[in-house]
Amino acid sequence: MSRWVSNTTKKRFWFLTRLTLLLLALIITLLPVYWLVNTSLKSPVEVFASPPTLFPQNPMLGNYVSLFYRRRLGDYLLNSLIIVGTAVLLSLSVGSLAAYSLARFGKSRLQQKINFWVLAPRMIPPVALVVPLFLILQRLGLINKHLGLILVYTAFNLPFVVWMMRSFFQEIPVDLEEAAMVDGASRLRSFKDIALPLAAPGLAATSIFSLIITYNEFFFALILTSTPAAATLPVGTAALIGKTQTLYGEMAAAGVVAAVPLVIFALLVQRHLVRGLTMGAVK
Amino acid sequence: MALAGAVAAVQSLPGCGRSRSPLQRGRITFGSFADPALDVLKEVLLPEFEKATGIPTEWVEADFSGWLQKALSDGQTKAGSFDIYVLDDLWVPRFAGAGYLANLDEMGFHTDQDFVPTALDLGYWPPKVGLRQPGLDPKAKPALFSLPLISDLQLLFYRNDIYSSGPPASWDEVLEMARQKSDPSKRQYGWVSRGVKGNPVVNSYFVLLHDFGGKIFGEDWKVVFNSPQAIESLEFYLNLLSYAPEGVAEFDSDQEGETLLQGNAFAATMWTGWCGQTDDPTKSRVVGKIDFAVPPKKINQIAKLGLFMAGIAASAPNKAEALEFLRWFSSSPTQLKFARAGGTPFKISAFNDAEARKKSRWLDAIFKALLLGVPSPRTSDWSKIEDILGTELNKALIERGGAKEHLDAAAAEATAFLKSAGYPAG
Amino acid sequence: MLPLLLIAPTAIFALAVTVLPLGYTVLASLQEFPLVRPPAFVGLQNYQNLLHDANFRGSLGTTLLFTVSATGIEFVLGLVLALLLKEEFSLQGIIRSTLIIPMVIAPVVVGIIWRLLYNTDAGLFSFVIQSLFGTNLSVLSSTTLALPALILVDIWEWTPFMFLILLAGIQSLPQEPFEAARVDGASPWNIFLHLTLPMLRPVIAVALLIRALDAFTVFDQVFVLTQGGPGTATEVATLMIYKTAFRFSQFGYAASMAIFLLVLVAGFSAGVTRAFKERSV
Repeated sequence: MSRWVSNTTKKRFWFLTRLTLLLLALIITLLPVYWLVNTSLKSPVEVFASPPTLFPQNPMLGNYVSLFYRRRLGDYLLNSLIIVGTAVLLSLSVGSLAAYSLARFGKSRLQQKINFWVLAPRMIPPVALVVPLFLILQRLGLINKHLGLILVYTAFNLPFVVWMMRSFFQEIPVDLEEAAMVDGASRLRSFKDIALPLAAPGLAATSIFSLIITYNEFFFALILTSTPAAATLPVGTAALIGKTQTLYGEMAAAGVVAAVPLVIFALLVQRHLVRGLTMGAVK
Repeated sequence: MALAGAVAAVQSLPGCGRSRSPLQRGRITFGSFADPALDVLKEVLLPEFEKATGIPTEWVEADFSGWLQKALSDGQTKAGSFDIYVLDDLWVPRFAGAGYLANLDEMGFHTDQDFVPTALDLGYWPPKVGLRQPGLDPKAKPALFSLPLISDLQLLFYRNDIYSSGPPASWDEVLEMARQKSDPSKRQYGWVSRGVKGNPVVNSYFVLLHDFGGKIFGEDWKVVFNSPQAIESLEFYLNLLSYAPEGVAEFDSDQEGETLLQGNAFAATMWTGWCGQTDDPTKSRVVGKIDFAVPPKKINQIAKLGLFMAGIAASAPNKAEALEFLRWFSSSPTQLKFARAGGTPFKISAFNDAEARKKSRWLDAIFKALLLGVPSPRTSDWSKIEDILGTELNKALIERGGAKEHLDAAAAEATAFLKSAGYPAG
Repeated sequence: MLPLLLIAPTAIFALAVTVLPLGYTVLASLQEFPLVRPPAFVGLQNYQNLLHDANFRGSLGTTLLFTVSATGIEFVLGLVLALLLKEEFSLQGIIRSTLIIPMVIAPVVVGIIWRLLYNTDAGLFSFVIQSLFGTNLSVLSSTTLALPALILVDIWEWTPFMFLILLAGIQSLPQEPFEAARVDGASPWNIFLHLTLPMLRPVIAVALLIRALDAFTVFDQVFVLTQGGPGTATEVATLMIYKTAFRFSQFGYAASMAIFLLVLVAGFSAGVTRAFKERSV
C-alpha cells in the first residue's frame, strides 16, 4: 500500500476485509446447514414448494417422530455409536502399540513405506473390496454382527492411527523413558505410564478424525450388515431413498440427528484438533 | 486359484446342526427396497400373517440401488441372509437366470386362474412369451421362480379440473391441452416426465415408443428402436416435453411426482405408489383434483409394467416358512383383504371387489392398465441396453432435438454390445 | 522380538483387509461372469476391452477434471481461511467448529440437500440466482453446468478439511524467521510468497494428496445428485465401476476397471510423494 495512507487506516481496512471474508465463509457454510434443519421441520408438501419457503409454514416434529418410531433410527444410532466407538478405541489401542514400536525401534526406510501404506486403503475403490470382504466375514459368521463391522473399520483406521501417533511418540524425549527403565520399569510399563499420557493430545486429535470418517462410512456398512440389529446410521438414512420417492423431510431430519453427536464432540475437542495436527501430521 | 478352492471347500461343509423343534417356526427375513407402495403390506398384512400362522417376520429395507447390491451379493455368495427377495420385475431374468431363486414349481406352489395373467407371467423363467436370450435352452419349459407382490405400473395421473371432460384418450389430446393451457411463467406445465438417463427416461419413453407402433427388439434380437415409428415417437415426446419444466432432463420419479402434487403439471404417467398420496393434504396441494386412467393411445395403447415381485432365495434358511407366506399372500381371500386395506393386489377377484374400489379409487384404472401391460424385455442384459438407450435419450432431451441421430447412435452401440455378448442381433 | 509383537496385530489387520481381498479382485478381473452361464477364465481380455472402451476413458477424464478443480479450489480457499484465522481471537473455538460442520454431515445427506437446493422450481439456489440475475437456471440438467455444480458441492463439503490442515501447518511454523523478515521490512506479500509457502510445502503436499485421492474416488454425491448425467457430463470412474458391477452384473469387467484405477492412483501417489520428498530437504 502506498505511503500516503496512514497505518491505522490500513489496519482498519484489513480488519474489515478479514471480517467480511469471514462472514462470507460463515454464511456460505451455514446456508445449506440451515436448509437441512429447515427441511427437517417441514411437511412433505412444503419441501417442494415453489418458490421455496425460508421458514416452515407449519413447523412439525413429525419427521423426527417418524424416524424413531417407524424407521427405527434409534437402533441405527445405537449401532453406530457402539460400532464406531469400539472400532476407534480398538484402532487407537492396537495402532498406538505399533506406532510406539516404530517410533522407538523403526528405521527410516520403514517409515517411508508406512507413509505410503497409510494412503493405501484410501486408494482402493470400495467396490473392489466389498465382495471378497463379505466372503471372508461370512465364513467367520460375522455378517450382520457388530463385531464384523468393528473389525473392518478398525483395520481401515489403523494406518492413519499409526501414522499420526508415531509422530507424537517421536516428540516425547527418550530420556524420560530411559530414566524410568533404569529405575527398573519394563519397556511396556514405561509405555503405559510415561509415553501414553504425554501423547494424550495426539490421541484426542487422531480419534476425532477417525470418528468422523468411520461414522459416515456407507458402502461397507451397507453390504456387511443387513438388519437394524447391526446396521449403522448411514445405511438407515439411505433407506429413505425409495424406488419412486425420496422422503426429503425425514432424510433431512436423519441428517440432523446423525450430525449432532459429531458436532458436539468436535466442539468439545476442537482445541486438541488443531494442536494435535500441529504436532502430528506436519512432521 | 487357491482362494477359489478354499471357498469351495468351506462351502461344502455341512451347515452346523441347526436342529429346531417342530413347534418353533423359523423367522422369515424379507429384503426389499423402500417404497410407499409397500406400506400396506408391511404395516397391515405382515402383522396379520404373524398372527395367523405364528411365523415371525423381519423386514429389511435399503435404498433401491443399495438393495440390488445386497441381493446380488447375497445370491452370488449364497449367504442366506434373506429368505424372500423383493425384486423389481426387470431383475427376474438376472436372478432366475443366475440361479439365485428357488424354483417355486418344484417347491409345490400352484397357481390358479384368479391371477392376472400379465402379472403372473413375469415370474416365469425362461419367459413364457417372447425371445429367449442366447445361452438358454430354447426347449426349456418355463418354470415359476417368483410371484407378483405389488402390481406397480405406469398409470396416467391427470388433473380433472383441467381435463374437465374426462381423461385424455389420445396422445394428441395431451399435446393439444399442453399447447393451449401451459404457462411456464406461472409454473403451469402441460406434462412432466422423468428424464434422468438410464432406467427413468427409458421407462417414460417406453409407452410412447410402443404406442406409436415401435418396439425395442425385432426378430432374433435385432435392435429396432430406431425405426421410423420410433423416431416419430421420440420427436413427439420431445415436442411434448417442451411444455415440461426446464430441468426435466434431470428429473427422476420423485421430482416428477412432486411437480404433479404441487399442482404444477396437468398430467403425467407415474408409478402407482403415488396414488395414495394425491389425496393426502400433508403431501399434496391438489387433493381431490387428480384422477387416474390408462395411459393414452396413439396406434396402440399400453402401460409400462414395473411390478414388485417376490422370490424365495436359493440360499434361504427358512424356505418352508417363506413358501407358506407366498401361498398365504397370494390366496384370493388375503388378496381381497389386502385390496380392501388399500394395497394393490394381483388377483382379478380382488380388483373387482366393490369395497376395495371404494377404498382405492384408482384400482379400476390399474386393473385395466395391467391387462394392457408390457414389461421390459426379458433378458439379463437389459440393464446394459437400457443404459445405452437411456444415455442417448437423455442427450436428445437436453438438446430438445436430434431424435434420429441419438436413436441411431444408441442402436449402433446396443447392437455392438449384443453381438459381443453372443446375441444374433439380426 | 518386542517391536515385532507390537506391530503384528496391525500388520495382520491390514493384510486381511487390503491384500487378501485385492487378490480376490485381481482373480475376478481375469474372469467373466455371464449370469446364465458359469464363470469363465478369460485372461487379460477384460483389460484389453478396457483400453478400447471410450466410455471408460471419458469417465477417467471427467474424474480427473473434477479432482483437479475441486482440490485446487479447496486448497486456495482453505489457505485463505487459514491465513484469516491464524491469529488468536475471542470466538475462535465456535467459529472453527462451525466451519467444519459440512465435513461432519453424512455425504448421502449432503447430496440429498444439495439436490433440493439445486431444484429449478423449489430450490433455494435457483431462487437466489433468479432473484439476482432474473433468469432461472436448471443447473443439474445442463451439460455445461452439472459438473461445476458437483464441484461446488465438494468444495462446500471439504474446504474445512483443507482449512484445518493448513491452519495446523501455519500455526506450527517457528516464529523467528517471520519476525526477522518483518524487522527487515519485507512486505506481507513477499513474506507469504517466499517464506510461508515454502515452509508449508510438506503440509501442502499431504493435504493435496489426501484430498485428491478422496476426490478421485468420489461417489455418494454424484450418485445422489446426477447419476452421472446429464448425458455423460458427470460420469465419474467410480460410478462407471459401480454400474458395471451391480447394474450390468459384469463383475469381471468391473474388477478390471477397479484394478486399473488402483494402479493409476497408486502410481500417482507414489510419484507425488517422491517429488515432494526430494524437494523438501
